[in-house]
Amino acid sequence: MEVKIRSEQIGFTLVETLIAMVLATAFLVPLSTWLYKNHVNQRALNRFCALSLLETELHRAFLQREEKTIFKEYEVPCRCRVEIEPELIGDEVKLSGKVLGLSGPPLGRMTISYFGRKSPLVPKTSTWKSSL
Amino acid sequence: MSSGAKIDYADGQKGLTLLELLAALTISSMAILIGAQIFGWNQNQFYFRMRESEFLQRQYLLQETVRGQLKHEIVSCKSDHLVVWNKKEEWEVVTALRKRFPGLETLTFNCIEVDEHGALILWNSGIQPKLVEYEWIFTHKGLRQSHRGSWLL
Repeated sequence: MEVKIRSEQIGFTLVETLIAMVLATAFLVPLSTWLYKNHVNQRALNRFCALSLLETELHRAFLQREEKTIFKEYEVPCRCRVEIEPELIGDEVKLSGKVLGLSGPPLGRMTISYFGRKSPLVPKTSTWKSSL
Repeated sequence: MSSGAKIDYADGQKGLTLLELLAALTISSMAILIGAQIFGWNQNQFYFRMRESEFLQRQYLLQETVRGQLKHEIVSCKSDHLVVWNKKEEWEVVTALRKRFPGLETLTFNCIEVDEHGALILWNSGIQPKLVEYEWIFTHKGLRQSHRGSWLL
């Protein structure tokens, strides 16, 4: 009598694979959507808050005719760091500000410019003084 | 095989045993339960995310409304009491905004001007202030956030 021994099945059947895929999708799709939306919403809220703080600092620096670099860290209403760098372009002073979150790239950048510096444009030198 | 041999038909079993039936019922009820949980959780997450988006949208709207109010002439400015005038009538901004935004807990203003030395001081009256800083605490559907901003006049 001939005996046929079926080789032991290795791997998954199509039905098993499909069931596994359906289950994995059922968990992974909502999870990834939730993570993505959570990240986007949090970032949008932080950005809204941080940009307003940067704008306020820029407005203050503009009114005070600030010519020094400003660094400010905030805890409230949101954790961020504001940096304002003045740049002299002829008679114009350009205040370039950026706001950084806890990590990652800057949350936003803004610039504001003014004319009419507090200090004279050309510092008085001894040569200039002696020429008087 | 001889004709008198006994044939066992047990191998061709049809139907399920009680144990198998119970197991199938348990497994399918568990699958339904898990499915319902996932669906419910997904619905909740969708609701939370929508609420956050709506919260942000309301805050942007509030900011633009506050800035719109500051385009009028400022009559007086004392913390949570800002009166503006549009050449026809004058009104108190905080009270007007509270009616429009019920979630507005607090809204305070700082009107600032620049003195002759270039320092920022609080504005009282006279020429319009140079800068108005505002701060609010806003609540919407259980979410609460404070915000600080400014408007250059």
